[in-house]
Amino acid sequence: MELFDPLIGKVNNLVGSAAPVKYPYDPDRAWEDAGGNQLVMMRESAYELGGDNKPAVNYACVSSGDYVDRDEIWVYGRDLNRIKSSTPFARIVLVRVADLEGEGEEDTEPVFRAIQDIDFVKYHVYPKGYMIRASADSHREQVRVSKEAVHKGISFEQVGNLYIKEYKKDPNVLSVRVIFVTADDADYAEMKKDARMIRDITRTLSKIIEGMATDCRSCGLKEICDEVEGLRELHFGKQKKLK
Amino acid sequence: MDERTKILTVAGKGGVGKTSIAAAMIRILTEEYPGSRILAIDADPAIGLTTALGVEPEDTLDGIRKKIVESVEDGRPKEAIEMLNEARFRIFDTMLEEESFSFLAIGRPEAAGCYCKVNAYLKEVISLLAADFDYVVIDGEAGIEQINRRVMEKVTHLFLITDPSRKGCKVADTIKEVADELVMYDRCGVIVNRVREESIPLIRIDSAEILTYIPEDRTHAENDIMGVSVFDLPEDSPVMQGTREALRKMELI
Repeated sequence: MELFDPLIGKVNNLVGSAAPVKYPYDPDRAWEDAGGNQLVMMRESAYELGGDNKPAVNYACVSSGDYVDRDEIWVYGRDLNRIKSSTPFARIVLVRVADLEGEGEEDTEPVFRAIQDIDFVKYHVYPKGYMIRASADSHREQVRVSKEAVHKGISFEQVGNLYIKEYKKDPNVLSVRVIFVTADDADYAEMKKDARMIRDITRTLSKIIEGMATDCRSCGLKEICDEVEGLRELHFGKQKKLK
Repeated sequence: MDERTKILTVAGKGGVGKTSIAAAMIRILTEEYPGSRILAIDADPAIGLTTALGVEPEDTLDGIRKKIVESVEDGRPKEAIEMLNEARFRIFDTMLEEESFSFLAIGRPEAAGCYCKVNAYLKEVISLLAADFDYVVIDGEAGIEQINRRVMEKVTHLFLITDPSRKGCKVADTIKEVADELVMYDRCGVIVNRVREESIPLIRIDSAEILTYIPEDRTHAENDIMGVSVFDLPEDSPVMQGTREALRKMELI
């Protein structure tokens, strides 16, 4: 599973010039989970990450490479206790996975499902007083942080621990790095492009499953295949198998 | 639905004053329960509640539905969990949050094509969202089945609004019958609006208890024409007093 490796390699160039603050995974330091979607009204919120039309990007990249050798939380920019108003925000998740190739290199179905399952973890994490709303269409993830949560000392380290706890329930996940970005000099526009690219690559895997056209000239996903090494091989391998 | 959430719906024939009464309910609830979470839902395609409450939403649920349908038709397939979260994301962008209440406009019903799946997700999100509020007031269009289909499966308090006309009273009875069939309310009562004292003995409604009679109010009618918010009405105006009495009889205040 190396489809996303070029994008993983880019992450360090996008997140701002300052060094990150790194925290090792500690499940005991996870922020309380509210158990379901919660409502933090504007009047109850201290600020909104990605609010007031500020950038708000989210994506997850999986790889069987050794980019992520341990479970960690990295924070670029101000932590939750130092934010006073709406701020740009990104949450990037790098996941090291076991071999996802299934029964053969051309069998993309388990790969697609595994990637989707890992991505969908974001819909099952509900840090208390940290109201997340995510749009798959725009790749946005905005977060209203309640005054109460700030008062109680919520931090990215604790929220990150809660995320990792959830990711690690997936048997395919070996290790996870959750990266929170609020740095002003981060390249959020480029992150958004990468989020879209990841989505397109994943969709392409799904299209392969559905049995797409074999003529690259008439295929709407040609651009993605041209750019991502290995996709075309997966596609034609699958077609061959179906015949 | 969270049992503590009270969901009030007003329904009745067009032009009987539903919107003014729904707006008065919002005002009274904000005054009685400051600090509580109150959501006003304008389910009438005419979106009259915006004027009555003095709010200006930028979009409606209909707008959200169109955007989601466009993205699906654009060849971007989504799984159920993504659709649900997309609907939730967009509803928060559409919901206005005033200091004392929040506001959501449903907009026009779908014009063409059947997007049952998208509608189902939107309705699900409204239900989930409503559960986080203490009070939800829905200003409905004439047909209660539209509210059931597009907004909420079940309400706790159904207010049937009518004027003294025989037609208005019959519509109220019919709405009650439909609501009974759909098993969609806990308590139901009638508000007879714009009534003259001498005609009260002639008014006959069989289906539910009459909670209050609201006399004709020329000042309110003029305010209505001028687009004055219900928040600017005097506390002793007939619509405020009558609505307060109805809420009291339904043990909401």
